Formats: sequence, structure tokens, C-alpha cells
Amino acid sequence: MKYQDYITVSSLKEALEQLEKYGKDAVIVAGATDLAVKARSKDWYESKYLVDISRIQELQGIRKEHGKIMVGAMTTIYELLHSELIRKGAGLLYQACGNIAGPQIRNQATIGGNLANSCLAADTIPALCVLEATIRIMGPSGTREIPVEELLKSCPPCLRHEEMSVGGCFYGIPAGKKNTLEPDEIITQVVIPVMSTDYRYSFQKVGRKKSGCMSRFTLAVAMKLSKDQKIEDVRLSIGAALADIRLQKEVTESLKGHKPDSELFHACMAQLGEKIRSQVRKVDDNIEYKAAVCERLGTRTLSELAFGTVFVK
Amino acid sequence: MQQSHKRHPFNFDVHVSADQEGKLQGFEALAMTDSGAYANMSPGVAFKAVSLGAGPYVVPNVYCGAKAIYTNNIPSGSMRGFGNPQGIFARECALDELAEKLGMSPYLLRKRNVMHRGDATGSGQIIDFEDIGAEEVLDQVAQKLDYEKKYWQYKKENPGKTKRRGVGLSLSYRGNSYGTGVPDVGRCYLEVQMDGSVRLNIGLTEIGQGLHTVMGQIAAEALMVSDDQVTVSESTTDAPATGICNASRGTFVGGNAILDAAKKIHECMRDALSETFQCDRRKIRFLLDMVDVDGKKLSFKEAAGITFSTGRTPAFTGNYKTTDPVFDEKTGFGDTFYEYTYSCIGAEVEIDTCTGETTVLNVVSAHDAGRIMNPKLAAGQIVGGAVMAQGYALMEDINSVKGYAKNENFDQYMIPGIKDVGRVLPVTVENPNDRGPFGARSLGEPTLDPGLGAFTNAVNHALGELGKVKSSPASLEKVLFSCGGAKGDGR
Repeated sequence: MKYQDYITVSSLKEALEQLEKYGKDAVIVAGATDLAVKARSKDWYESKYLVDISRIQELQGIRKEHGKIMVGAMTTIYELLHSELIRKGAGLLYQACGNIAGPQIRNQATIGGNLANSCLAADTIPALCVLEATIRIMGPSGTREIPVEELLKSCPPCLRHEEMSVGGCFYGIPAGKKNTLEPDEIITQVVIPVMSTDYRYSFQKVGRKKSGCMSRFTLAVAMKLSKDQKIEDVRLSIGAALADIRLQKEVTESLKGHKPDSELFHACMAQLGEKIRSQVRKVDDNIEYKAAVCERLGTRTLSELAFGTVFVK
Repeated sequence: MQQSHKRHPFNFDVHVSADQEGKLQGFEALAMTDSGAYANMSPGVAFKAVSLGAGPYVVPNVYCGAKAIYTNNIPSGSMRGFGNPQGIFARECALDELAEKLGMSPYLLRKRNVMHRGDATGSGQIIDFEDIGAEEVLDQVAQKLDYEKKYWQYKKENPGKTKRRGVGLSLSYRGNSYGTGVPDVGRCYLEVQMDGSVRLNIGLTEIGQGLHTVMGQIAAEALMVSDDQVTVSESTTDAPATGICNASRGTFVGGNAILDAAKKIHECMRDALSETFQCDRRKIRFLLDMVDVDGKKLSFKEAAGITFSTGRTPAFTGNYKTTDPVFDEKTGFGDTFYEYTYSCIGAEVEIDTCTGETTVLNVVSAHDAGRIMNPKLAAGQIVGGAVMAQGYALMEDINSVKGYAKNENFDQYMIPGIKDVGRVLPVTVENPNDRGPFGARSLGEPTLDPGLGAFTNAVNHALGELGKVKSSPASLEKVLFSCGGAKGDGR
């Protein structure tokens, strides 16, 4: 791996100093599970200064505060999977984490990294959108907080990256291009409102293998039924299929207030499938596949949530 | 990954016909294979696909042909199976289609046509030197997978479901060693030392299949000593040239070479003992770790010591040359291989019509490789072959663009992981003959051979149309697009 210098910092203050010092040439390193793989296929970081934040105490830990779960950006996927707070209060994220890569990657990869890398196939992002999580970001002028779904910038070129492999990624340095982070900013925390037990939810990942592969399609959905069994609330987000990842509000607005009905679910997911197809001038097998999965898997998942069987993969 | 040889891609045009009762009348398979930039192994691969192409079935009219074509693609070379898996796939998928047209179970169609001792192969070779275990392995798989019941049950239950189950069978046979026109010689160096311990040097490679263990076992059995007396040297060039570990020749050819050396050693020891004890050579018998010299019992160690003291050396090279089967290249008639292994794999899968994913539930893999030398190692070979076949059938693919492989590493070249593998039940049936060492035949490639056909047939059964998917792998996209108008609510 070629780089100018590798600097391990032990505090946020130090990290921000390094980012200010090197400006656009600074690159943050957390678990390095994306960065180190990218560095092997291309010398993305040859002129860069790598700032390793893995020792910063303020970025560690998961705790509960006023009905919200505060997750430090350096929290690994492994830690999320072993946290009772996450399992009980943010079950959708828990399900998403179980689908990420394989055990070795999960031991090392961080939630902050998954967000900052901003890959369309990132598994935590659709789940966090549906959980209505926010991200705390620290920069030289202080801290700001944004909803997760405002992190990613729309990136149509990535739709041409068929398998969305890490090594073949078109963006060695996502900051600014793939997301709304400034080069001198660090994600410090992910704030997740505890999901009420009135919600039923499901996270679905489709990959070429049952473990250890990139997602071809992901779906995160949460639904609440009213006492008279109408859809009181539903939130839905898909990954690896659109040029960005956010809540699909048009789809869900047309479901609210209605009685659960598989024809209605199908109409909504078919509409979302069309949205996938409309992104490209010529729909190839790759896009057609994702649109079809969106339509079919989406319909089935909504039906299963509404009619009783929560289908856990 | 860019430079190494890949498995030969094949295209087949298959025609198969049967009468109303399901008796096969004709089988025609015309193949084209992509050699890539170099001919390398293509002639041999093409020959295997063609000579074994009609399978272990009685078919009165057979035509199998293959053309290997030079292209500017990645060079094709040896890969476990060497043309047979490809040919089996084409045939077995066609047979399933035929069964559906006849309204017959694919199991019964195969059973009706399977070869028995004394029947002739597609090239007219009459197999009368061994009992053909093809029907037995077919029956074992069908029974242990509960094939008949599931075939009709899933066919009936699947429509309307988004998770659909399917079962698939594939029956095959494989010639051990290179076959006609390519002489094969096994050699080894076997030595009894002064303390009675035994050393074996054989050039065949241990690639994890347990070859050295089995060679050691054969040496021990042939010499009549305990297994722990035998040391097999690491794969070494200190052994006489014995060729590479390929063509499912290891057990068969290597083992026979060891038998030859062991016989020479026993003769040498007999000479020494009859001279020393002044007795008839015929009154000397080798028992386990012991020698009976006309009623007097010696340990093998003592006998070894005596042999050395008479100025003799109980160390010999073993030599075994396969009998060259007589085959007429011009007419395509005759004997193609000297020895055969008979195989059957059955798979049960579940497909998801919403995602195109295939989950493997159960696999039964049965083989007649004569006498099994080591049951545990045989099971390892069988299970390993089934898993490799699963990857081949469901997820492995080399995509080349302008002669370069697009997938350069295992993040994009998918092979099954521990979570992908279902239950695999290994089964062996034994019909030994006197051609192999202690009746053994080889298992290296037969354990993979029928796998591609079995998994593909199972996926097609789940899809509701036998012969639907006609190419490998049955990827996510292929399966999903084959589901037609399936909707998420099961329609």
C-alpha cells in the first residue's frame, strides 16, 4: 500500500488537527476493510496522509440516552451483533449486520466506516434510514447532526459497477463525491431512536452466496398496524439498486391508512421497480434483475409483515 | 487467475429418442469446445466428452462428436472431470426433458435403460469383466433421497409458491486412467529395511485426497505387514517417473505398481528363507507381521534380517503398464478404457422465485469404485466432489472480455462457503474385479462428474420445467428470469 504517511491519533482534537493540516490529502482510516482492499487494486492513497482514528476513546461504545441508542463511530459490526441494546432496540440494524460479509470482516469493520465509505451496497445504511437514525459529524467549526438518508449523494456511475465489488470501486476517496461530508469532517456517532415494539420489521439481503459476498439487493422495512388492522406507519428503504439510499416516501405514502392488501403491496413495489429501471437509458440484465427482485421480494416481505409471519433470513 | 488454464467451455447439440415405453432408441451429441489460444489438453478433453458421452445406458444408435476450436480466449486446460462433466450435463438434462415428455419419472427412465454386465457402451465396448454398479448407485440415490415421492409431490405443490423445491438425478461413468492410445505406466520404489520396516517412494502427488495413505495401505496389505510399519515418502522425484496425479489413475495405476514391487520383495525373501532353512519355497507363507517357514514361525522383522544376511536386498521397483484398449479412431468403434467407475448424484434444492437464489437442502452421492481402500477418505472425496459440483452448477463463472477474465479474485469468482453447503450423504457400493489393486478403482473425478447435471436438473424441477435452464451456472439472474411471471405474492 502506497501512502505519504500513516498517523495514528488518540483524540478527536488531534484527528481534526491532522485533517486541517493535510486538507484534501488526508484520508481517515477506521477498520480499513474497504480502504486496504481498494489500495490493492489501485494506488489511490499514494499522495495521501492516512489518519488512523481507531484508538480514539470518544468514538467507542454503545449506550442508551433518553430513548436513543448512541453508537460510537468506531463500533465494529461484531460489537453491534453482541449488543443487547442493538438487538432489542434496533433489531433492523441487528439483522442487517448479520448479513455483512463474513466473520473476519465483521470483527474489523465499523459502522462509521460503512457510512463514510458510502457504497450503494452498504448494508447498514438502508436499515439506519428506516430506523430514522441520525449521524453526528464533527468538523473544525463544531458538530452537526443529519438524518442518515441525507448522507449519500446520488451517484449514477455506480449503477454501472455491476457486482459493486470493493476492489473495483470507482471511488478511492468517497468524501465529498459520494457523500455530503467535507474533507475536514469526521463521523463521531450514530444516534438511533429505539424502535417501538409496535413495529414489525424485516431486513432482506440478496447475494450470490449465503455469506461473504456483496449485496445484489437489500431491503429494509418497518411497519406498524393500527388497532383496526390498518397500516398506520410504514418505512422502507432499498440498497444496491438506486443511485442513492434513502427512505422511499412516495411508495410508503400510498400505503398509509389502507388495509394490508397484497395487490396494493405489489402495485407499490412495481412502481419502485420502475424507478430502478428508469435510471438507465437501456435496461440490461443487471438492472432488470434488481427491478424484478424489488418488485417480487418487496411484495412478499410486505405481505409477510402485514399478515403475520415475520420472515427472518 | 488471469493466466491459468480454465475448464473447457462446451456447447452441445443433443438429440435423444425413446419409444413409448421409455426404451432409448438413439442418442446424438455434437459438441464444440473453446480451446482458447492453445490446443493444450483439448484433444483429450474432447475425447473424454465423446467416448463417455452416451453414458452407462444401453442405446442401440449412438453418435457423439466433438470439435475443439482455437479462439483468442483464455486457454482451456485440465480441470477435474476433463470433458466428462460437460458431456454428462448435456445428456442428463436432455434425459430429464425426455422423461417429462414421456410422462415418466426421470428415475424410472434411467432405470429402464441402464447397462448391466455384458452390455456394450456407446462405442461398442462390451463390459464383461466386471459387474456394472450403475443401477445400484442409481437405486441408492433414489432411495436415500426419496426421489420418486418428492418428484411427483413437488411437481404438484410448487405452482403458486415463491419457495419451490426440486429434485434432480444424474447418472454417469468414467474410465480410469487415460484410455485408448495413451499408454499409462505406474512405477514405485518399495523397500524393506533391516529392521523389517517398509519404505515406499511413489511419484504420485498427495493433493489432500489421501493418496499417500492409500498407497501405504496397499503396500502394507501386499507385504502383509501392519500399516504402522510403512512410511510413504513425501511426493518426491526420488521415485521412478510415475506420471502426474490426474485422469483418476492414482489408486488404480499406483496401487498396481506397488503390488508388483511387493511380489518381487516376497520372492526375494522366499529365496533367502528357503536357502537358510533348507525348505521348499512353496512351504513359506506370509501372515500378518509374520512368516511361516514350513511350520516354524518367524516375525517379519526376523525374516527381513535373515534376507539381508544372505547378501540379498529386499528392495525393488514396481512397474505396471495398463493394457491398451483397442479402439478404431476412424470408425469410432472399440474399447475406450480398461476400467470404469460408476456414479450417481441426486440433489434436492429450494429456489426462491423472488430472488433467484438456490438453497441446497440434500445431496446423495453414490459410487461404485470397486473395493474401497479407505472409507473415510472415500467419503471425503465424495463430499468434496459434491460441494465442488455445487459451485460449478450454481455460482462459478469466468466472464472474459477481449480475452481477459473480468473476475480476478474470489470476491467476484464465487465458490460455496460453509453456509451454502447442504447435507451430503456419501454412499459406496462395491463390485470389485481383478484389474485393480485388491479390486480398487479410482474416485478422483467420478465424485464430481455427474454433479453439474444433478443440480441443474433439480433447479429445473423446482422451476416446473425440466430442461428450462440449459447452461451453467444456474445463477441468480438465470433462475429469476426463468420464473416467468412469478410475483411476490406467489402467482
